[in-house]
Formats: sequence, structure tokens, C-alpha cells
Amino acid sequence: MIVYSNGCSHTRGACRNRYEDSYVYIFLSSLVGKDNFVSINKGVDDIHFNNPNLYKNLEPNVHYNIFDADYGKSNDKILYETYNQVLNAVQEGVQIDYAIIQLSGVNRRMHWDMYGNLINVNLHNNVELGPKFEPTATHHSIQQIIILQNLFQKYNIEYVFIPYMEFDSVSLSKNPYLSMVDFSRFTTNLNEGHRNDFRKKLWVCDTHGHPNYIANYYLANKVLELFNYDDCLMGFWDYFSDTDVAFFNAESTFIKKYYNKLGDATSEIIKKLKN
Amino acid sequence: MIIYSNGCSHTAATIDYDIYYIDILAKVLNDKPSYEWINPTEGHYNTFKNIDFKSLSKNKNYLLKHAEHGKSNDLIFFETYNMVIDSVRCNNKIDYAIIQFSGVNRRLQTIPDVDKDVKLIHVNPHDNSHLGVKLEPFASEQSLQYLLILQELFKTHNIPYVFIPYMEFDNNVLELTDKLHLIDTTRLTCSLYDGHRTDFRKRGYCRDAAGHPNYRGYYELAMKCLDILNKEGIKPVEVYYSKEKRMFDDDLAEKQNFVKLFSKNLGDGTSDEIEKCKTPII
Repeated sequence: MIVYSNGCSHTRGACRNRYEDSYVYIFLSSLVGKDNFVSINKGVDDIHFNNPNLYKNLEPNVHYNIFDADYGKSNDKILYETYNQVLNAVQEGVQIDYAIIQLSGVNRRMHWDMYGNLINVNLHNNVELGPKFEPTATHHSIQQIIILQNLFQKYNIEYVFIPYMEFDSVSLSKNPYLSMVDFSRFTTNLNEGHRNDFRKKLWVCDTHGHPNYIANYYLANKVLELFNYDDCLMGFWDYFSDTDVAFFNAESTFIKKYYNKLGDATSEIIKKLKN
Repeated sequence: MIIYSNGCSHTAATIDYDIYYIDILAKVLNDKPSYEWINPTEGHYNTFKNIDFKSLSKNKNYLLKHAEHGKSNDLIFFETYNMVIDSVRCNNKIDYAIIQFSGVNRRLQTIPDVDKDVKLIHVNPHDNSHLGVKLEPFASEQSLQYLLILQELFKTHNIPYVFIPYMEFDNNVLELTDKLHLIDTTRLTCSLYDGHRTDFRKRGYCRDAAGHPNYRGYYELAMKCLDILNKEGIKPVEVYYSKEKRMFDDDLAEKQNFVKLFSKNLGDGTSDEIEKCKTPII
């Protein structure tokens, strides 16, 4: 089985900077057994066309977790990399079985440094380079969803989209192309996203709304359900140990109180809410 | 019939001409003597739309001219994708698409705007370059991806199309990529390695250092597009351009020996690049 995933820090296992905390790992562990798959974490690399094709050297009868999610990523980069990765697999005659794409904040974008390396522009990093503004931001992301949806359908790849952050509801209401999106492949609706809901339930470890163990476990189950694997989720305590889990922290009350006002939780927003 | 065209200043209207390659194409492709041309709103999304495909008559001919000065492949791609899926959604599909690709280093940036919420600005070596143009290898790689996605889109919806890579892509990137073979080169008017710009400069088929085509360039582009679309019926160049216009353009090309001489070095034809070419090598 080959699983391809992409997304930002909300998929990366950001709370402890540990890949294994990610719902993608829980998903795969539930299907093939914990530690019974090989993970390839290339998310930190810039995936250019001319990088070695990683699908070239995959062993038969091995389960692979091709995991490209990384901190700060934009939907621009998620599209760019995912498209290349799918074509790479097709070129090598490798069938990706499942694609799990977590959509990031629509205002994020790609830029590059003076050496040509890709860098992320978002409200936390390199914001001076200018993020995307509405309504263009939302419309770009909708187009990117349609492109990826068509790509997965063409190559018979089962896929899910996880809109972790909410989209701008005004822009959404004016987008004429939403009827072309298959929302049955989404873990939640675009108007709401998961972030605020998780904050409200305190299923997050920080103001940014990064998913904690419960949220990752919940997302793993959602993904399994969308792939028609009902009742396959492995036990919570079979995956996490009791020393892993710390559900609450000092920020919990603050997060719960302002769950729907924290937005991207930049230091300015936090300061404003605390005052 | 609906013909859709997009590109940058090398396709867009100027005050110097009444007829461009896309107009010649429209005259040949259209099954009726007249056509209506429409300039779609930048972006074609949200409230930034002035075309409702449902309202376009199936008994009339339309030429949608979306090309604009300074445009990047980012915006050309975004708009073209939107236009195609919108036409499909409205059950009034585009009949032909002619897409001129721009310089790969150009990009799109959004800035807040009081009146329209957002303004799309072009970042290229001539405009807003302080915001940072794209760098290689990413620049060429992303444009290649745009080509692949649009190619797939046109094929899926059975829309005859032509790609005009007016500017050359970075040759080193093209050498290294393993995706080049996925591009259907039979739909390209020239090789991605060469583009038209340098060749047109060399042959006097352009009217300035930036390589904007003159009547000869426009006519050649029209011929190449029709050849790809397998359509006959283009008339002699005299039919489309007056004797005065042709003489004026040929005289200008003759005087611009500098452009021919430095056809390859002029790049985007910025003032810096022109200055550099003019500076004698000591």
C-alpha cells in the first residue's frame, strides 16, 4: 500500500515536532499495523522536477508512507508538489493507493530566496513579502482543489481533502465553481474547517490550533471513514502511551475562550485578545 | 463559436495595430464573416467577471481577448482554467483556445484595494520588480506544470488548443526535467528551448528591444497556429496589413540593427539589459 500525504504543520505532528503524532501515521498504523510501514519524509526538501524520482526504488510488498507535509506550507506549494509526486509515481508505473491532502491557510503563498530555494510566505514567516488577499486567495485555493481532484480521479487514486483552516465565507459564497468540487471527499466543510472546532474542544496544543492527540486520532478516523474503512481505527491507548498524552496546558482557557477569534494566532492577534 | 485567447503584451492590443495574430486566426476560423470581440475582466472569478457564458449566443462568433500587458503565467493559467471550466459548466464550451505563455520569471501578487478589495499586480522585470520576480529552477518548473495542467484540461474537454511559448524557458531546467516528454509538442508553435522572441528579433519580425512582434511576427504566429489547428484559408499578408504599415514596420526593423545584433542577449529588454548590450566591451 502506498499513501501520499501533504499539508502544513497541522499535519506534521507539530505539538511535539514528531511525525508519529500525525493522523496520517495513525491512519496507516490502523490499516497495516504500527511500525509496519516505511515512511519517506521529504517534506523539508524543495521538490523540483529534477530531483530523483523516489518512486523508482520502492520495494514490492512494502507499505509506504510518502509524507510531504511540513511547517508553513501554502496551498500553492501543496499543489505544486502533489502534482509532481503523482506524475512521478505514474512515470514509474507505481499506483498511489490513497492521497491525503490537508489544505492550508488560503492566504499563504510561495516565494524564493536569493539562491532560488522556495520559502513560505504566511502570517508567521516572511509576511513582509506579502501574503495573498481575499477574494483571490480563496479562489486560488478552490481552483487548486479542482485541479487535484481531477488529477486523483484520472489516475484512480482514492483521496480525501482536509480543510483544516476555514475559508473566507464571503468569497466562498461568490465562487461559481464550487459545484464542480466533490465535497463527499472532505472531512469537513470549507466554511468551518477543523481549527476553530478543535480549539473550542481544546483538542489543540497551542493558540495556532495545532491538533493534539485526540484531534489527530479524530482526523485519522475521519480519513478511514471516507476511505470506507469503518471500525478500523486502532485503539487510542494502543497507539499513544500514557506518557505521550498531556491534554491541557496553561493556554487552554485562553484558547477555549477565543477559539473563533484567534485566526492565524499571530503575536499581534494574541496580544490584542489578551488586552 | 467561441475563440479564447490569453497572453501578455506580445499578444495584447496596442495603439500601433488594428489587427493581431489572434484576429487573423479569428477571421480564418470563424464560419461567419463577422465576430464580436470581448475583453474579459482580469481574473474571471468572484465579482470580477463580465462574461456570462450562458448569455453568449450559439449562433454568433466571439473572440475573447484576455491578453494584457505585463501578464504572468500565474495569471494566464488562473484565468484560462477559470474560463474553460466556466464555459463547460455553462454548457457553452470554448471552441478554440490560443494561449501565449509569458516570461517564466513573472508572477502575480495581490494587494489590498479600497474599491475592489483586492488588486492584482504584475511582477516582472519591467513592473514591480522590487517585489521579487521568480527565480530558476522554480520559475521554469512551475510554468512547465502550468502547461501540463492546461494541456490536460483542454484534452479532457476536447478543446482544440495551441500554446505559443513566446519567451524561451530556461534551457538548463529543461535539460534536467523528466517531465518534458509529457508535453504534447505538436501543440506548440515552437520549441520551449528557443521561444519566438530571439528568433523574431534576429529576423526583424519585431518592433522593439523587448521583442514585441511586428506585422511579420503576427502573421507568422497566425500561420503557425493555423497549421497546428490544421486549418487552411489564411490570406496573403497584404490583406491584413496596409502597405504603409508594412513599410513602416520594415523600415523600423531595418533601423533596429541593435536588436538583431543582440537578439539573444536582450532577454526581457529592460533598460538595464539594453544598457549592458550597448556598453562596449573593453
